[in-house]
Amino acid sequence: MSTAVHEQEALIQEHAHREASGTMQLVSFRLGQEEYGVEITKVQEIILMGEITKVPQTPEYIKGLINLRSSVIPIVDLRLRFGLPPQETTDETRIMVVNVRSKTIGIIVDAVSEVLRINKDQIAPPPPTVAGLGREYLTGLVKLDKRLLILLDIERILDEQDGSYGEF
Amino acid sequence: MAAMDSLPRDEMFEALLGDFLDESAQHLDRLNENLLLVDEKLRQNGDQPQGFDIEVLNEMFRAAHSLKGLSAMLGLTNINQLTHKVENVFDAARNGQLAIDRGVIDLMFRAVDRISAMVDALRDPPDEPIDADAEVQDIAELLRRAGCEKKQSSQNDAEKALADLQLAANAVDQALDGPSIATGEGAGNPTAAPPSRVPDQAQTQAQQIFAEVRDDSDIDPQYVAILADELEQGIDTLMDTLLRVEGGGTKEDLESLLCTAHRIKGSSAAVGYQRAAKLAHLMEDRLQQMRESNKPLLPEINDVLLRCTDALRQFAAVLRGNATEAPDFVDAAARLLALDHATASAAEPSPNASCQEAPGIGEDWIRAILEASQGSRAIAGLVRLHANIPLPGLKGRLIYEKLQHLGQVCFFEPDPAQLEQMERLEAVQFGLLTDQPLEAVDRAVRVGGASDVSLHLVNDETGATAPSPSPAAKPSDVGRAATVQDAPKTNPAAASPEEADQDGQAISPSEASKASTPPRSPSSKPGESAAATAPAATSPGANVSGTNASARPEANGKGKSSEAAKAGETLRVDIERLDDLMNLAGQLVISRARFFELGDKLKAQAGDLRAAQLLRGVQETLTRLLSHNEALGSGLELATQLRRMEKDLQVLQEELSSLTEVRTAVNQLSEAIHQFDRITDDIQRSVMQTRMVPIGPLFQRFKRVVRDVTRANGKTIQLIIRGEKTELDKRMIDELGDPLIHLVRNSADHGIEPPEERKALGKPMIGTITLDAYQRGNSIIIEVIDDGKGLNADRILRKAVSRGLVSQADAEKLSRQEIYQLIFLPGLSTAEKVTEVSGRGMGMDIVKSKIEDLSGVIELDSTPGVGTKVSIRLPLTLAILPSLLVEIGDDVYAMPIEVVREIVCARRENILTVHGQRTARIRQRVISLVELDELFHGIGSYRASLEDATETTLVVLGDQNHELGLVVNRVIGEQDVVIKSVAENYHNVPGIAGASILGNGRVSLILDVGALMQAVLRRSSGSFAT
Repeated sequence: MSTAVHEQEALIQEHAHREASGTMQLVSFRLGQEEYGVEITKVQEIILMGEITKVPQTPEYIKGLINLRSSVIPIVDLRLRFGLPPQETTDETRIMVVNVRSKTIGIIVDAVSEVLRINKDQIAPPPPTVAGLGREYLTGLVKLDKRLLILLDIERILDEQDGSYGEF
Repeated sequence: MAAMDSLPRDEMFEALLGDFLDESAQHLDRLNENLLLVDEKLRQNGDQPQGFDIEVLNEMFRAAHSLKGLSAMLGLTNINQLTHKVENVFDAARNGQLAIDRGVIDLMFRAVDRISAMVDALRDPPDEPIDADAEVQDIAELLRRAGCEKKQSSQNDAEKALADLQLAANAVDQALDGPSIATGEGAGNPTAAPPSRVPDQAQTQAQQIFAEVRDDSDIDPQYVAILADELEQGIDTLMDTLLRVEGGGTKEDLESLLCTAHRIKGSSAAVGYQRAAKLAHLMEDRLQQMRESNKPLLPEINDVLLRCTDALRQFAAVLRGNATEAPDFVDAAARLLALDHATASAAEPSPNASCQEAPGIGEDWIRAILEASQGSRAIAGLVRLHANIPLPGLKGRLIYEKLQHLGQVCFFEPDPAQLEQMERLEAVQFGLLTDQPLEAVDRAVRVGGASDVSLHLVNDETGATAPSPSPAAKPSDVGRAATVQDAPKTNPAAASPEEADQDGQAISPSEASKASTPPRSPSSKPGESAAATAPAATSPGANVSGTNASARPEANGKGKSSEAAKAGETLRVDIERLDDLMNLAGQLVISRARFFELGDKLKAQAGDLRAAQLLRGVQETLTRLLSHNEALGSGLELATQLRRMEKDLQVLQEELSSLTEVRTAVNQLSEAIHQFDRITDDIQRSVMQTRMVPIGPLFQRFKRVVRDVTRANGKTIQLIIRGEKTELDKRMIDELGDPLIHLVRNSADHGIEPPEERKALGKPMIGTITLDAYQRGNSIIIEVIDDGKGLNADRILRKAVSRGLVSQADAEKLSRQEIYQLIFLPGLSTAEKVTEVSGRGMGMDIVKSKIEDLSGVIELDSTPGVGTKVSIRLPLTLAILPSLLVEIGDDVYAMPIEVVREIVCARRENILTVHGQRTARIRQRVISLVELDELFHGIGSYRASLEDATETTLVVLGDQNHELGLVVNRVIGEQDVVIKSVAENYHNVPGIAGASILGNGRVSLILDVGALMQAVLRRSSGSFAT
């Protein structure tokens, strides 16, 4: 357990290092009751929901593929990914296009809130008691004035999917 | 030596490197191929080193030689060194000095591998520097044993040769003028000699220097432009620095100039432009002096250097074909030398006038001979050697020894004692005290490799020399006739000694000629090999006189400019750009689909002419009604109403007629779209073709693989290659190498049985591996077939179970074919012993994933005791797929049109259930039906809704053995779709070959029909089993 915390601390350190000033910029978005943050450098663009072509043989949270200016990118429903109940598309629903590990993917979020700059010392490691939902994708908590932002490790969003499908 | 070659990695270098990589691959392939031929021959002969085709050896020599030259041009010392060694070996072999046995072949293979590795290292620098010390040493040892040892070469070969020449000239200078004229320390103070006035002496000296230096370039036309690029880059640097430092400059500036001059020298010399190299060399010397003497760049020097730079720029322009006027190297050099002379003693003896007029041979050393001769009859001679003859030092030595038989050698340059050490020798100069006639001397010194012989009778009484300039080309009868007639005797030198001996031409030793006019010489000889002698053919005239010296580069320049034009015919293009182009062509295909869709829609909406006809009818009726009404004289009100209607109708008609125009426009639009369609097709095809390369060279590589394996495991295997001309996308060829190597190794190592075993089995002793490639529809099929023992299903299964890849229960259900497919699972290696060859490398799982990355399918079929066949099916292109679009459920799917056998409608009464499998009977055939959602898991419905339909649309897929009717809602039509990789941003999805973007911008999935068929087969066999 403590190793995990150390690792996360190391990760945070690394994040911090990238920002010479000790600050970093986040794009925050809402998912269910929670607010999440993703490093702005990972976010390519934010687009409206469009028609998604569903793909068989994929986990439930892969909503399908869209055409983003002639390249085909997969769309992940973050709610389903985190095991939250599905929700109908609203006016606020957005697809956040992110670049992870040389791939471009879209993630469906309930709403995109804002871009904010935080200080690295505002980041605390996630409490080990947080269990279940998306625990492995959290790198830390950002304490803001009145709210708590969950720092998301978007890199791992496509991981660990095998087993649920793959063979006919 | 072990150190990596370090060079400034500028753009120029990168461009050259790119070419080098391309070119060297070809040469290495050629080496490998020919080595294999020799190896095979050796084997047939029972290891007797004889009966080799000399042409094969020659070709290998040439390949090594080209590699050597190319690597020298780039300053790749390591490669240069090793290729040079390899060249020496083949040279010795073709001259019969070295017997080729297995050891030699193995060593050559090793060396070629090492060169390949070093070439690869250039592309992708490894962590560990690659050195070739072992190979170089082994070859040196080999050559030493064979008695044809050579001194180690260096990349400065060309420079050294030049330096030798310069040395020779200097030595004579010194002998005559004292040390002060030498390019030594004391010469760095050019106070006088305004650059505008060039002293005669310097002029003469420059003429001599350049008369002796000839361009001997058999440079590949494609490099001409590259060389010009490089030169111009260097020239720009020189110019910048010179202008900047004007009359001052730091030591760094000087060093930069020195470096640049050196680079220009090196690159020109490496490709045989010795004249430009010479000038650069002189500049370098000058600069070197300045650096050593810590002198600033005085304005005079600066001027002269700028003048030289101009000459070089002119040369580059000629190379490019932008200019025809040849650079005046002589003048530039003369000015440069004048700087030296200005500092030298003023009391120099002015040169003998007659000597001055006999350039072609340096007057100074002739005078040295004159002095040495002390009044006896002496012959001064210059023998030029072909640039790339083997063992030039020995040739020089031979000349020396032959001369000794004829008389007393009073002068020999270079030093005979050093001759044998020399890797490069361009010419020897000698003075011979003899009574022998010139002809005899001429015959004697015409050793193999001599390109040109000039002999001069040094006559004590007159002090004049009889120049005997020689065209360097092969003589012909015509040429000889001319020689005899012309008073200033030309002395056509033979390219080979035999011919010269046969001809035994006379040299007319006429003193009458002072060569005040350059002798005419036959300049074109029938039957000569044009490429090799073309530069030489233009040179003889220029060779004799300083005035003509400048005409020669002109001729060369003209020749080069036409070559430069040719160089533009092929173009190296970054594959990324082609990728981009392909992508754009793909988007064009998408837009085309959109245009078609819109066009069709418009056409349907534009309606036909009926509306206009109807309207006309209504109008006529109205008019009739109106006139009728007037005749009746009834209600005015009605008439007004009718008139209004008539007017409205008129407006309507006008609008309708403009609609007719729209319709015409729509027709034209559809015409335009068809035009667009054709152009798109052409673009797509052209772009595709630019990327297509034959698979032959890739296949050829496997000869070596098989050879290595057989050497290692003692099997005898023949490799049959078919379909070499089949073309594939370059990128696919690149990616296919590794997987194919693995497959071929597998076959050779594990598939083919040892000879005894094969004999016992009644099979031919020699195992056969066949590589085949052919196009089928829009696919390329590549097959690796062996006639070995086949896969051992039991062993695979045992292993799979023991590794937990398959459960015991499942294992029992698997068919033989299914068991074979298990070898594609990660972590399963069928080899019981991991051998040196196949142990390393990738597993079959990686082979499979590599093929799948290329949107390909790999299939394996094996029959115990008969052999194994692996088929790889690849799309013709990675980008565009002619497809059938269908609607299933709510979605549109594409499938390759080539797998669609037919589209049929099955009536409900023809659909039956057999053994739980729904089948349709169509024209006496029974076809199993399949619906996507039976195969696909996951969200959504992939079922076509056909419950209440009276007819079901089936797309019949597959081949004769396995037909499958895919149930679809509707067939949309045929369309070229652009394949977009799903794996690019996600990963491969089983059953889906990729995605494409439809005309309306939506994504549709491309079905992987092969995988679907397999899934159905698996499912049905399973259901039969239970």
